[in-house]
Amino acid sequence: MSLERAIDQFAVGDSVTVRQPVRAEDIDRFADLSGDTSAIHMSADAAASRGLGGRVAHGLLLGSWVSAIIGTRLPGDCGILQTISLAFRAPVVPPDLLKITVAVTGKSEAVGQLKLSITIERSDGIVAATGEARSIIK
Amino acid sequence: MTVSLEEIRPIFVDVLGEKARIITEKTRASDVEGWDSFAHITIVVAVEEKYGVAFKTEELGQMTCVGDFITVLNGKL
Repeated sequence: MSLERAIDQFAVGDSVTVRQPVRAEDIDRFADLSGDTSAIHMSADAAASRGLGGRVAHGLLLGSWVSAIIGTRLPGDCGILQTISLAFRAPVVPPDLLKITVAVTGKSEAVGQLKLSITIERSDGIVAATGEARSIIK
Repeated sequence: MTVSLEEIRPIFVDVLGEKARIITEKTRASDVEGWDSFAHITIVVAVEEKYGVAFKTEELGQMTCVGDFITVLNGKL
């Protein structure tokens, strides 16, 4: 009889989807925390002058919401985030309601690592960001 | 198909840096600065994905040097 290991709890195809509201005050708080006060994040006029529809949420604000899913849902407490990459494909302007999905696309049984895909979709159906992460299961 | 050290050396270099250019089949992880558990996981997964193989935990536990790793890899190809 073999003991079940933490990695055995996960299978390719497992996924979690979270609906995440985006508010102007989230951008303010992230700008304050990170120090990234670039004009496109802080000023609707500056963003409009660059052809954007309003203040743009920081890419890593979106990444922090992904981190929350990986850290608390999939894989959750048993995971240690090893790598994460995101490609930003369309701006996110508040107010919006994002659909953030993290899914298991691969796993290494030998070293206990999950490969995760990341998709962030705006409420209009446009994909705002895609990416990949790897998490070690311990 | 048989994989040589030279064929997988780019993976070691990518993970461990230029010092991986002097790795031989007798090299052990403890011989290379920076070859820690994170680097080890990255190397193993990169090789698994490149060659479409899956190692077993027991196999990794029995490997003592780079040559052992290559021998087990070739046994799966």
